[in-house]
Amino acid sequence: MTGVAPYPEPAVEETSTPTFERVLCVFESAPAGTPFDPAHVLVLRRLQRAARDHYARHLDAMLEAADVAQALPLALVRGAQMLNRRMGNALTEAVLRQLLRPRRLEEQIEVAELALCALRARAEEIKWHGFERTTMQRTSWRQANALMLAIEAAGLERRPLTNDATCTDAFAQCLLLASLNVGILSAPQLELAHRWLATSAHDMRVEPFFDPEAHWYQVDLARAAGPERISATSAVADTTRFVAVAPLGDKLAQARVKLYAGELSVGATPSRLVALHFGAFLDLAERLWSPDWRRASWRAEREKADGESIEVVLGFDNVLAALEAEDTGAPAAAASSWALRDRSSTGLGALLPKDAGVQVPLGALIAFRAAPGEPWELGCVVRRIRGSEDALWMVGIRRLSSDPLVIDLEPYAEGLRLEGEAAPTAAAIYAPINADSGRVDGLVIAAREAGKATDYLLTTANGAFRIRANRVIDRAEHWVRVGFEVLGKK
Amino acid sequence: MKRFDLTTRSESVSVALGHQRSATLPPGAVLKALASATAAALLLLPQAHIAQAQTIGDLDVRSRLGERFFGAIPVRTENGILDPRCIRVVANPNAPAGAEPLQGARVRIGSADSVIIETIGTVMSPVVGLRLEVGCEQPVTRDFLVLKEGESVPGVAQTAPAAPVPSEATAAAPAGVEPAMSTRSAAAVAPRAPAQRTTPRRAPTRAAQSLAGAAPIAAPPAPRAAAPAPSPAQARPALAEAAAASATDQDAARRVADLRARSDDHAAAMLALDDRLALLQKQADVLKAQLEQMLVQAPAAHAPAGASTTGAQANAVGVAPGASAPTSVAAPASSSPAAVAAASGSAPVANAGAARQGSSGVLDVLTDWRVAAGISALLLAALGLKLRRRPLFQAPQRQPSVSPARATPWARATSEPPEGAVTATASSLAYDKTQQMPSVAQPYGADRTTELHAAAPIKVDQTAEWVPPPTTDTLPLPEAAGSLSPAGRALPGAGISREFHITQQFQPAAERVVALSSPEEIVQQARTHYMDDGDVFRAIDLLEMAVAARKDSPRPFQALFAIYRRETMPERFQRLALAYRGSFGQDEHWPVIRALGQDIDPANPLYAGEDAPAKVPEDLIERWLGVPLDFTAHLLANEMHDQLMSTHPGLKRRKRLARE
Repeated sequence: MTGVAPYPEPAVEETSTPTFERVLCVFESAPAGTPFDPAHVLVLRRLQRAARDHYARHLDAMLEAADVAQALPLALVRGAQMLNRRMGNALTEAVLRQLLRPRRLEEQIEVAELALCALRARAEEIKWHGFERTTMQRTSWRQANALMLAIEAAGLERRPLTNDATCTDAFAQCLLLASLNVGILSAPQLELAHRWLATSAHDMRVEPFFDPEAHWYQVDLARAAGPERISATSAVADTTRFVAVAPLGDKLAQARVKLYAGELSVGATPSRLVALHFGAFLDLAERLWSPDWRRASWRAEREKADGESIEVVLGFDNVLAALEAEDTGAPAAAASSWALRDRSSTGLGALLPKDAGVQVPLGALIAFRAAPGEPWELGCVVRRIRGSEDALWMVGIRRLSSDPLVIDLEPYAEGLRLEGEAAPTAAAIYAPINADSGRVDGLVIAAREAGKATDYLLTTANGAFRIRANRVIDRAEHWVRVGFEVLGKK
Repeated sequence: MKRFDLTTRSESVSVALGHQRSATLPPGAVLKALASATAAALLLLPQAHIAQAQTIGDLDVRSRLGERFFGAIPVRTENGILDPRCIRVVANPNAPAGAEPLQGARVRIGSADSVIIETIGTVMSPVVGLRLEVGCEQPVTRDFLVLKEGESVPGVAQTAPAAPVPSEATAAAPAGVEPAMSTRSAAAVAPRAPAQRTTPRRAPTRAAQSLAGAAPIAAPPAPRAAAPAPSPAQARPALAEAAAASATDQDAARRVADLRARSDDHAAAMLALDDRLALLQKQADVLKAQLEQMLVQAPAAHAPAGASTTGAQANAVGVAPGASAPTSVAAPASSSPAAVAAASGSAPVANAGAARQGSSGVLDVLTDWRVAAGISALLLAALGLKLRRRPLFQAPQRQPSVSPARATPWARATSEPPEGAVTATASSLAYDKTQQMPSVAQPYGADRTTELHAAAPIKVDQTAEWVPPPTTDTLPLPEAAGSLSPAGRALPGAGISREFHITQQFQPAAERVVALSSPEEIVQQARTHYMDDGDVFRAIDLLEMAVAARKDSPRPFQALFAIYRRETMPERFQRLALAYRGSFGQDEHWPVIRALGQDIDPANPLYAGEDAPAKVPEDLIERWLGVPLDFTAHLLANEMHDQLMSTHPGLKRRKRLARE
């Protein structure tokens, strides 16, 4: 670059858009084919570090905040997505151009370090997209995959670098983070996941051969896509790489033991809130990566349902009204229509327009049915994710009951009651569901009613049963699903 | 992208791969793969008698010591088709003593006509010898010796690293001809050296490095270009000596080879130093040019304040009496050294200095103390400027002909700046006054070693407010859950929930209290999750929490053992068995625990013992889970369910709809 000193002191300043713009534009507007100036690459790496330090403060504050949305506004999230994407692109391009030149050992290491920075920028990009419940852009995946392919071709993928980090580890961390980003974890949980992976996911195996005992994810380095679960229908090409995640199971179990002993095995200030978030991350990670859990709980097979749709009522009160209307034959409540994506024995996958999907919170109680006039089923939203370039949200619905019924629960009280005295009752939903282990009885009650009593009188046409709520099966912001035991009959 | 239907060449020969993936493949695909591979082999049979030149390339090992072996060898045939059934990996008969063969090796065809060799088990031997045989009738072979970095082979002279050579042998060649050897001891091991083609010496192969796992990356660079290539006459005697010489000769040969290797290392180090020197020289030149440029530009930058001072100093010290001050005062407008010299009037010293400036380098100029004084002043001024305004990273002019795809991020960059006060205000654009960051102050290269340290997420220091919770062996009372919401506190089971436990661990109440939930209550709750709700995860989570929190009762352990056994979770069972033995020793339950462990993990030595495993009672799992024998509650629940479903008004409507 003309007019630039060979080793300029970089103007990296944490809150300077002009600085970011100047540095990144050097790389984005450079003519193709020519290697970048080493000084510019150095400035880029310093810029990456400055950005990381800057955002670390926001992330620490977010971990401690009760209101994540306030601690992490959308503009901040999208700005970080864009910055990490551009830095990742620039670093990747720098690596690919340097790999073409003949090089000595020191240069090889330098290139590998640069690739490491690029892959870490990708991990950041995945994470910041996860905060918004979106996935990383396909162009970024294409660059990351191409980078890994080039690093493999140069034989640098397992070369130990600073702190024994390797490009394979960094790439595997990207893949694992992407596998966690399925619209379940909240922003603090995803942040803790990233921190845990960065410190614990070492000696990872991303291999060109398949071992069904160890490899659970695969990625095609020639495609612009992230990892996918290995299944019988998975396509395999010469550029397919298989990711072994089984060794993480032991580390996750150790982290859980430490958590219950009051120790947080992740770089964050130990607090109750952080510990709860970390526990939620461990729950998902163990289900996905632990060999024991993989054997114990295999994911139900999905069946495509393209072209179908369901009628949906959202929210506890609306669901209650819809079920009551079904019983009484009253006009049905206003319902919206969601396009169906797939279905399984445990739930459904639906597609929502971009604007409508934002309004659907995780944990929302819904009643759904295939067509007007059919009986309602009960479910809740368990995941929501959108491809960053897609216009539709993908929503996961877990079925809570196929035969929900509205009932009146009367808190049970010992003693006499005056004649004509009306007992206080609360509307609830009797939600039985048939599982592999048999029928699971549950009661869905409003969160505001939860905890007022544990013993209730449940009236049927032929009598009344005295029940005791003895466990919480599911819980969300506005509703609680409790299990109960029947103590007796009146 | 290809699928398992195996319609292309590389798939049709990947029978081994198909077998390996048969666990996840539909049966039809495996049969299809076998059929395709058979068809391909049959097609090849008529041409089998034709002598084909084949090339076996270098072994590229990508696994490490302690991992399962994984390596790739490029193999080229004339017709370009590799049949995995005619490729074998056997023990290297020429391997030195101590080298172990590759156990359980599997062969498959990889990309780019390479043969992938992998093992089922891990490789623990630092020296592995293997022979690759390619071809069904008259196979071409090549021996490989894979060494751990720094490993020496007994009885084999250590030569300098010698790279394998893509060897070419034809089917007509004598059987058993070794195309080449790989790894550093290849030359010494191969007894049939005349068949080899001597090659230039190269760096240690990746085979040796990657198997070593922790091969030092900062090792002296390979003497790729500078190391003299051994002549064939040098290599061949070394082979002969290693094979047949006496022990004394072997020692001498080893010493010679060692010295030769060291010599190569030193040569490589010298090369690296030369390169470093050249780089430093280049940097020095650049700095020199910068300094000269500063000298040229400085007078103009400091003309108002500095010119009179320097001019006055020059007049006072070295300028001839005839020199007039107005001349020097009038000079500041000029910015070139020549103009400066001219401004100094007709002083011979100044003229001489100007002449020297014009003809000699900057170091000569620096020897002139007046110039040095001027430079010092300029440097001070430059420092002052630098403190005021830091140098900017100057971006080139954007190309107007950028593609829309690339232009979009720019446009978005201006409309969506990164958050965090990334404000592109007019003032910031104009002045760009920024606070200097500590990282910027580091000299060039200083951050190279520390940057990746900082790459890991920053571990936040523990705050002063946080007090490590006291360890406890008991679960506390639910009333102590100060942080739980009132509604949450009153929920059933809240006292033994994870939220409560974590709250107690990370935000302890002022008073530590004894346990409310007895071990039996915990087991009962876990059993309810496990058996009534079918929620294995929650049941295990609760029991693991209980086991971590209290060691006073074996009941949570027993329930957890029972679930692990029923769900066949050997890893967790082993971990729990170790924890149990640590807490309770080998008590009266230990033999049964061992027996349960042997059921799900027979090979685990933890459960092995001299005595026969104890007999596990049939109802042990149910007893440990605390399964009740009273089914009244279940019967009542069924009755209530039936009444609700049969009499509820909504159901009649559903039935009617079902009939319609």
